[in-house]
Amino acid sequence: MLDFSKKASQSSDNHTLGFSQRYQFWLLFIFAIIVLQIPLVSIPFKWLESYFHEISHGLTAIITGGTIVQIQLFPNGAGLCTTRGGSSFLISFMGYGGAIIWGGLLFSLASVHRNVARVFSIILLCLLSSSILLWVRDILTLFIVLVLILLVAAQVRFSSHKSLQKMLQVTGLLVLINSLMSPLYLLDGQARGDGAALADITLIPEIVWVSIWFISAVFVTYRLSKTKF
Amino acid sequence: MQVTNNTNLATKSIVAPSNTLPVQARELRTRTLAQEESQAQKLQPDTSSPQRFDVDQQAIALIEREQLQLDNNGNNQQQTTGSNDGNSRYDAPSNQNQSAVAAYQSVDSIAQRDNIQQVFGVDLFA
Repeated sequence: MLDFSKKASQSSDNHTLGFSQRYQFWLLFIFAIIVLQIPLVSIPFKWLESYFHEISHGLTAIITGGTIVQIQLFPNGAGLCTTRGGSSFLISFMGYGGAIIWGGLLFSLASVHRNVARVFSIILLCLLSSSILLWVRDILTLFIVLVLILLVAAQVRFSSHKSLQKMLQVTGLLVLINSLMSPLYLLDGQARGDGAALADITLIPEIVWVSIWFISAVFVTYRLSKTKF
Repeated sequence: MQVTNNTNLATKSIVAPSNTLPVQARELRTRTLAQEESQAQKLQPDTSSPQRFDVDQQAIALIEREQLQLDNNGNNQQQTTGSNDGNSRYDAPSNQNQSAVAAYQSVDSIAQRDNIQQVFGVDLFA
């Protein structure tokens, strides 16, 4: 009897939810896809995904006992992380894997609470600033990272708490969509990049690694779609 | 001016001795008139001979044509140089493209990661 009343109240809650609330995730997802089609606007978000990719390589190198020598970012969205020491397998894997985690984390933490979103933004600013101090060695990368700092700082400074939450959610989805699509660029038959490096280390074909990254990104997207706002 | 001088000569000859005056004067006058005519013909050859006038017109037309051709060539050269400049400007890669090419070149160097790893003892991840 009690269960029945609970189910009844849940179904009534679902009915009372508006269309935009029920499909909020997918609306944001479609919005993020549209943003990625806009030529100039999409560029900083591609850089952000590239930064998360390279910093994931670097942080994995540090965690596995190595060091970061240099991080380079390029305007076309490419990047390069030079490390010394650490586990080559994990460092190679965590480029795309890390970008997926960063995207998911950004969306999840922004969805938890507006204060959490604010704290996470400040942590992100600290990470970007320390990257400049420790690992950036060229002007172009310095410029790109400064643009990313401005992007995140503007989100924190000029947004009210509620809109900051939404903007970070969209940013997280943008990073996630980029990391969903990026591994597919490795399927160019040129055998270079992280997939080829993993194939060299493990003798497992590149397409398997690309599939793992793609499926992981789809899975994270699916899990986030089930998140209650 | 030359005509005036001739007239002066005629006046001088008119001031000659009185016996021979009418004949000489007439002769001189006819001479001077003939000279004037010949000089006038020499001075105004274009107006006197229509054939030469035509030739000159043709010549002028030819000169004009040549001038036009020269001008056209000049313009063409300018245009071609201009268009070359335009083309070179058009073909010249923009800063964005140059940086993109630089980026691609650096990404290409990843293919030689083994060599770099051996030389510098570092790993490269793109």
